[in-house]
Amino acid sequence: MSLTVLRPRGVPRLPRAGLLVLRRMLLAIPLTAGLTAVVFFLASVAPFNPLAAYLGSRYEHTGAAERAALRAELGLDDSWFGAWLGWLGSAVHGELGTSRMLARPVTEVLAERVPYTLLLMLAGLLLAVVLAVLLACAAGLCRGGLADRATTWIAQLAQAIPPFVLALVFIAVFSLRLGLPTGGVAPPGQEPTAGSLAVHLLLPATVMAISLLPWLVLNLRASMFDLLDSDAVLAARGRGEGAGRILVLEVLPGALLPFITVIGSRLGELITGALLVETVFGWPGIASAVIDSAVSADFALLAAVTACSALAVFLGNALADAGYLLLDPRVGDV
Amino acid sequence: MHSYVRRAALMLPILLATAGCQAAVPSDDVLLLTPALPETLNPLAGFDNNGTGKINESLYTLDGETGSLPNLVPLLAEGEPQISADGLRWSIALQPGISFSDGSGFDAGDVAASYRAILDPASASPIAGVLENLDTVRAVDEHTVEFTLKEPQVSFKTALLIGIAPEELIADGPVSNSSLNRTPVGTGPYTVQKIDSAQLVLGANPDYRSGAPDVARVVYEQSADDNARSQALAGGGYTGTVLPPRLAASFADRDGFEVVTATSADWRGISLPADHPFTADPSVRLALNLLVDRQALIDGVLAGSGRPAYTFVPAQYGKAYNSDAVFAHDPQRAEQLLEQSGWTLDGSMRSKDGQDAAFTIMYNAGDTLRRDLSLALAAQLKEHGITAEVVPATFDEAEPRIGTDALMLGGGDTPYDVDTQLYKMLHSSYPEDGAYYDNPSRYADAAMDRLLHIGRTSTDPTARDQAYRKVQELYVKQPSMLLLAFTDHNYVQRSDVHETWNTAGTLLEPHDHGTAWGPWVKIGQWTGK
Repeated sequence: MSLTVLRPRGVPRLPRAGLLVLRRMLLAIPLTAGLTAVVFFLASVAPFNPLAAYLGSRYEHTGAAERAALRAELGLDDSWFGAWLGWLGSAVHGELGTSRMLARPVTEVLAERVPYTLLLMLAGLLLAVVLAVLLACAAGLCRGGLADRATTWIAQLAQAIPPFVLALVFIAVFSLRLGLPTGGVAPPGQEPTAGSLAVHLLLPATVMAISLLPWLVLNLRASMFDLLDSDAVLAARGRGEGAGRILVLEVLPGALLPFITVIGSRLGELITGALLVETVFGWPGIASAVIDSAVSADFALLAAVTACSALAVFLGNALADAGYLLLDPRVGDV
Repeated sequence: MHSYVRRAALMLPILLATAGCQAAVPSDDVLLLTPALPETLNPLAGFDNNGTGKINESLYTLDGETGSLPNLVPLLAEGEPQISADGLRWSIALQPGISFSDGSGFDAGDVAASYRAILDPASASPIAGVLENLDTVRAVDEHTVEFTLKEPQVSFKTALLIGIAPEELIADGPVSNSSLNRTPVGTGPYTVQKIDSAQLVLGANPDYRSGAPDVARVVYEQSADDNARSQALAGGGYTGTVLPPRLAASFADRDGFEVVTATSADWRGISLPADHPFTADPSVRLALNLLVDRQALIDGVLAGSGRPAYTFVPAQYGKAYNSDAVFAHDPQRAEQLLEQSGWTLDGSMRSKDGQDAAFTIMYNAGDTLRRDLSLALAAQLKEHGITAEVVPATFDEAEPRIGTDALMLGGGDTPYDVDTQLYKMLHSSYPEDGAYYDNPSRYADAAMDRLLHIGRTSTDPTARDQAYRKVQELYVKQPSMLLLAFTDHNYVQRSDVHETWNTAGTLLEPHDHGTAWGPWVKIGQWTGK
């Protein structure tokens, strides 16, 4: 009787993982709404002048009366709270408003640009994960050896180089010498195709991957070393199994679990990293829209972009935890 | 074994991707890398409002060479405006038989509706300020439009460089909601084929009245970073781009590329605040103008691409330019002036009655050119015992301080008439009637006001030129600002464009510029070889 397990292995974990994601996302909605309020507030106290952004170089030559009339017409004198409530009210109905800077509906702007940013982020993340696993395995095979030291060294170097510097170096080396495209998504003057996207994605995704690499690889390396000291590995060694087989069968599965959480928690950085990389490579994602909307206090666009990235981070974390629940039998509740 | 397979699967798309290759560029295209794509293509929201619209044409257009002030010649208008005796009513006959790219006919109703939309406060048009002197506009008949001004102003013709949109597509309400922002319809040589976050593609208008232009497509591709743009151009495939002076200069010795420099009336200089005891002193103002070595600033900060600015009028203004109205670089006389007016050297610093010869120069935070100019200027002044502290300031910070702190300013955004270039900078009714940055040093002189009035209202070109030469003569005797340089704009293009095309040259450029300007400003006039 005492052997009865309350939650035996095999109790459907998938529905529970689904519930977890659902619960987290329900919580994320009020949090995101609150976050947009903070964005409206910060944008209203920021030293950026929305009318100056709207008028460009004409601002200097616009008289006080005319400025006042334009401010009133554009609703720039409204309180941030009123503007936020108005935005929230229409956002609930799926209406995200019109971007003042880009002179078009926010939904259109997002629909056009977000896929590009997502593609870049996913490719960068995927490449980073692959590189991290390869490097950490190399390090794990020979702790303290050449491969291990090289891995640590690479991670530290990658951490030390700012992504935009790396991007410019990559363009100088790979584009000018080896003929890879310098930027954009298609050869000059042509429509993007799947092939052109893949070629043009290569350099920006690699730069993204390298900037994400240090955290991932060092975490993975540390948890691999923990597992290498574990009884299971000792037992496997006792059975006479080879180092490679131990690494793949005993160490990697265990080490990858905390890795999932690390990936989830790096999503925010992934988004900001993408913005820098996009700018240098002329990648047509949301980067330029984010920067323009921030410096011009373009509330509608800024709030929509913030809400999207916040939801992405929440979702990423929820998925990471749900993945834990699915993969690690020791985890009963998250 | 499993994970090895998976790893290989993950690497596969990346390996495949590297196998792609770049296709050749069709030769009827011109491909330009641009720092920023236009936010809107709507002429009523200010797109291409300097008479060079490729999509939406204006009543008048610019005609001239790079080294001179262009003439404003009729485009959609049939001839010169008929101006009433009191100078207030401008009647303009329009060319018959012109149609928009959507097939609808162009008439006076379209002109009136376009101008009315900009005037309408509800549209919040950013270029409403250009029409501050316009009272009403109406279509007299199908081919005549009449503008009524608030005050006589010969240079109102520069307001007739705004693109015209079809009346039926002009909706009430804010310009940011207009369909013309993304899908403009005009009478010009090009139409919009595509605009997204990466590209703006203009295609030749097959129904253009003088036949479709030879350059079949003009593609503008966004690349915000200066270095990335320069490397992309060097990497091949693109026709050209706009670059800051130093990066442009790096192409000067490179085979296959040419650097094109376009002159402008785009000046930089500092205000000399009227409430500061040092900078308000007329002898100090004159001394500062003699003290500063403008050419050294141009060589050092602008990498040589600029011309010294002494007054607001550059040599490109032809007969209106007074070649005697310059300040010699004469530090000795400047120091003499400072000594005579009591600003004497005490150690390494000048002072007068306990007041140091020190002031602050504010510059627009984020504008690195203005920052570098301010710092280089401050370094020059320091050698003569004058301390200038350079600080960044936003518009909101700078405006309340404009009476006591100097500000690094830029001008020349309405350069196509001497009147619009300098009236607001020197007439005593400013800054009260205008913006903080109009006449910031508060120049006030009755003789100057009279001359500016003649320039603004006289319909006799000779009398205007004479008045403006006199304006400069008066100004250099008693300068109110410290103007430093007219900046030139730098473009780089592949030299082999000349093998394919007969190009059409540059124009004198306004403050705002980019790949819509430079050697590509008249791209509709390029012809194939």
